[in-house]
Amino acid sequence: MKRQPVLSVEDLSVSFRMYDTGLEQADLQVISNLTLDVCPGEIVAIAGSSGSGKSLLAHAVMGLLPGNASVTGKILYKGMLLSQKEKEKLRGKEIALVPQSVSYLDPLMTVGAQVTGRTPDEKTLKAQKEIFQRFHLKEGTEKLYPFQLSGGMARRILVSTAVLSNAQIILADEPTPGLDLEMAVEALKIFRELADEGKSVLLITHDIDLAFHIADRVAVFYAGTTVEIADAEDFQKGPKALRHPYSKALWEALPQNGFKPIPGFQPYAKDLPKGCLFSPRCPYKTEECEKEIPMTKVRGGYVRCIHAD
Amino acid sequence: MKKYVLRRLLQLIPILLVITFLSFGMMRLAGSDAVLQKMENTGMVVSQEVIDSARAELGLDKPFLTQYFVWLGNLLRGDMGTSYISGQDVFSTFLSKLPATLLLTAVSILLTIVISIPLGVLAAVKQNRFTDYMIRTASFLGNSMPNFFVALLLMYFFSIRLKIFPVIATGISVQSVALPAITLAIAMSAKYLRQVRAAVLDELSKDYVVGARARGISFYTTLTKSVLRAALVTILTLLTLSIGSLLGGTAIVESIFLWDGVGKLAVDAINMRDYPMIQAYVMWMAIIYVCVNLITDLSYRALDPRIRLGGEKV
Amino acid sequence: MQIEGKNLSFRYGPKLPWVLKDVSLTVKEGERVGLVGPSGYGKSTLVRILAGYLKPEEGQVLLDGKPLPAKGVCPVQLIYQHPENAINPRWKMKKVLQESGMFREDIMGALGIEKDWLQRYPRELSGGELQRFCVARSLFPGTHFLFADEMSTMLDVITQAQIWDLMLKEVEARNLGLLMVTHNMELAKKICTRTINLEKMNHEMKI
Repeated sequence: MKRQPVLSVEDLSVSFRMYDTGLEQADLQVISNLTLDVCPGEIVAIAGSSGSGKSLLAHAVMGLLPGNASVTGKILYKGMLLSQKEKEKLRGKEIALVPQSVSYLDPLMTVGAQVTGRTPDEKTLKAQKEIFQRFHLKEGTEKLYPFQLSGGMARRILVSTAVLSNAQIILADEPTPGLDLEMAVEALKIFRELADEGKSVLLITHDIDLAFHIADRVAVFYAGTTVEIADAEDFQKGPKALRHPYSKALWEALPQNGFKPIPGFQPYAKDLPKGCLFSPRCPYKTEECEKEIPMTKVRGGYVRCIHAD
Repeated sequence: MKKYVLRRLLQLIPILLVITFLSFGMMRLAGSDAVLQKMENTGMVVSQEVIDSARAELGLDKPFLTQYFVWLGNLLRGDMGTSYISGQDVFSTFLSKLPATLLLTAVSILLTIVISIPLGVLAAVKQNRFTDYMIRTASFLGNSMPNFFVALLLMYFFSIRLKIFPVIATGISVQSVALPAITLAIAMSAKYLRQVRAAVLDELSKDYVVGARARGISFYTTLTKSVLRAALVTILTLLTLSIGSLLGGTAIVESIFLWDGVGKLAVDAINMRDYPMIQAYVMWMAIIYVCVNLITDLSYRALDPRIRLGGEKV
Repeated sequence: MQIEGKNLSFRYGPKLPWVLKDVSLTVKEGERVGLVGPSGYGKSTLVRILAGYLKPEEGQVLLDGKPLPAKGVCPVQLIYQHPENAINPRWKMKKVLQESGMFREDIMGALGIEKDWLQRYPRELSGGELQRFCVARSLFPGTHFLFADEMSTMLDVITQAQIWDLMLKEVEARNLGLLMVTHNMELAKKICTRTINLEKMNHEMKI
C-alpha cells in the first residue's frame, strides 16, 4: 500500500514578470511542470544545477514568493490543497524552512530569540541547549547577534531553528555549505533521526555525495524541472543504475568520481529550448526530443527522457 | 561609555574656538558695524567724533585680534557681554528667547513624527496601491509649497475663517504655537514621509523578513519589532539634522507669526552687526549640533547591536 | 616568487578573542595549496590577510621578502564564495570585464564566457557563470597568486568541475600559485599539490 505523502507538488510552474530596461516586459519561466512528493519518514534530496529552481520550490511551498511571481499547479499538504492563507498558517509550525543564507536571520535580534521564539517555555529551552551542544555551539551562543557568528555557526543556527520548530516537514535549502565534514554529517544525522521519528525532510543540496548516503530518494532538477526521481541507492551505485544523462553527468563530475564536467550551460529562463530542456547538451539528442517529454517509469524510478531504458 | 560621552563633549572646545573666531572674522569682512547700523536706523546724521567715541565705547576701534581675545577672556569669566544695540545682557536676552524656540521645535518635531512615520510605513506596506498613491501625492504637495505660503493658508483658514488660533503669537501658549508648528511640520513631514517609506521598503526587501515569515512570525510583529527598528536608524539621522536646524530657529516662520524665538533674534543681530549676540548664537548652534549628534550616536547604539557590540563605527 | 605569512595573529577588536595566533605559511608560484580545517578556525580571515585585505595585528605578509605593494595591480587576487556580491549589480557584464581591462578574446575563450552573456546584467546569470567573470577579471599580467575562498561551494558539481577545469588550465599556463579554502577533502585531493590543516597550525581556537 502506498502511504499518503505529507507533501506533494503537482505540475508546478512558477514564472516571474521582469521589467527590462524601459518598459519591456518579460516572463521568466523558472519552474516548469514540476512534480514531486515526500512521504512521512522520508528524506528526499534535491540535487541539480545552480539556478534550477530548487530554492524557489521551497519558497513556493512556504508561500514566500515575491509579488511578481505567478504560480500554477497544485501544492498539497497531507492531501489538502494549500492556498496562500493556509501556507501562512502552516509555516513555522507544520512546515519549516532552513533558509539558504545567513542573511535570513534578523540582524537586530539575538540568535536565541530567533531559534526559540521570544518567550520560550522550559521544554523548548532544554531542546535548544541540547541541539546547540550537538552542533558544538558553546553555551552563550544564544546571546549573540547574527553578525557575531562565523558562516558555519550561522548555518548550524539555521538548522537548529527548523529542527526546534517541531514541524512535520522540513525544507532544508542548502544546510551544509560552509560546514566542515563532521558538522555537515551531524546536521544530516539530525535530519535522519527526525525522519526516523516519522517526520519528513526535503533536502536541497549541492553536497550530493553526502545526500546520496542519507536520503531515501533523490530528485534531480534541471532548468526548473525534475529530470529524474529515484531511490538514493541508485545514485550510490553510479551511472549504470541511473536513468537520465544529466544525473549520470552529475555523478561523474564529483571529485571522487572522475571530476569530469560535461560541456555547455543550463539554458537561460528567458529562452528555454523546446521539449527536453537538457537536449542542447545531450549526446543522445534526436528530433523526438523537441516534443513534450513526460515523466515515465523506468526500472522503478521516474525519468523525463525518451531514450532512458 | 562615560569616557566616550566625555570625549565627545571635550571635542566641543576646539569646535567652539574655531567657529567663534571664524564668525568674528566674517562679520568684520562684511563691512559696516553696529555703530553705523544704529545711526542709519535712527536716521540721525552725526559727526565722525560721535561715531568714533561710540566705537571706542564698544571697543570697536581696537585691532581685530584684540577684540576677539577680549571677548574670549570675558567669556571665560562667564560674561558674554552686552548687546551693542539694546545694551541688555546677551546671555539673559538669549535665554529669554529660548523657551519659545524649544517649544516650537518640540511641537513641530512631535507633529512630524506623528504624521510621517505612520503614513510612511503605511505607504510602504501598501506599496503601489491606492493608499500609497494618495500618501505620495500628499507628500508631493507638501514638498512643493513654500513655508510662507503654507503659513498664510493656515492663517486664512484657522485664524480668519475658523477663528481657532490667533493670527500672531500672543505669548508662549499652545494656542499660539499651533500654526507655526503645523507650518513647519507639514514641510518636514512631506519630506520624511518619502524617506520613511523608502527606508521601510528597503528593509522589507531583505532576506531576514522572508526568514521571519518562514518561521511563522506574523507580518505585524516583524514590521514593528524588526523592520521599523532598522528603518529608524535612517530616519533618526534625518530627524537629528532637522532638530538641529529647528533649535537654531526658523527665521521665516518666526517672523510671519511673530514668534519670539532665537531665529528672529539671530537675523536681527546679524542685520545690526550686534557681534556679542551673534557670537552667542553661533556658540548655541555649535553646542546643539555636537549634542544632538551625540544623542543620535548613542541612540544608534541602543537600536543596533552591531554598533553596540561589534565596535563597528557609525 | 613566493608569498609568506610570518607569525600572523589577528582578532576583530582589541578585547575580542584571537581568531588567528602565530600562524605561518608559505605559498610558492606554481604550487596548489589547499587550506582546510573546521568552521570557525579563521581560514577566510587568513586568506584575506595574505591577500592584503586585512592587516594582521602581529606578524607580517611578505612577497619575496618584501611587503605587499600598496599601489597598482596586486599580485595576489582573491575570488570569493558569492560572486553576486563581488560584482556591481548595475553594470552589464561587458563593462565588468572592461573595468579591469579583461574584455579580451583570449581571456573570455579561456574561461568559456559566452558572447551573449556580455549584454546581460549580473542577476541574469547563474552563480557559476558569474564566477567565471570573477576569475577572468583577476587574471592580470601581474597576477602571480590566486586565492579562492570556497569558490565553488555554492555551485553544483558539474559547474564546479567546469570552473576548476578552466581555472587549473590557466593556473598551469601562467605558473600561478593557488591557495584554495574548502571543506571538501575530495576536491582538495583532486586539485592541490599539498594541503594545510589550520586546526593544527592555529594556536588559538575559536568555538
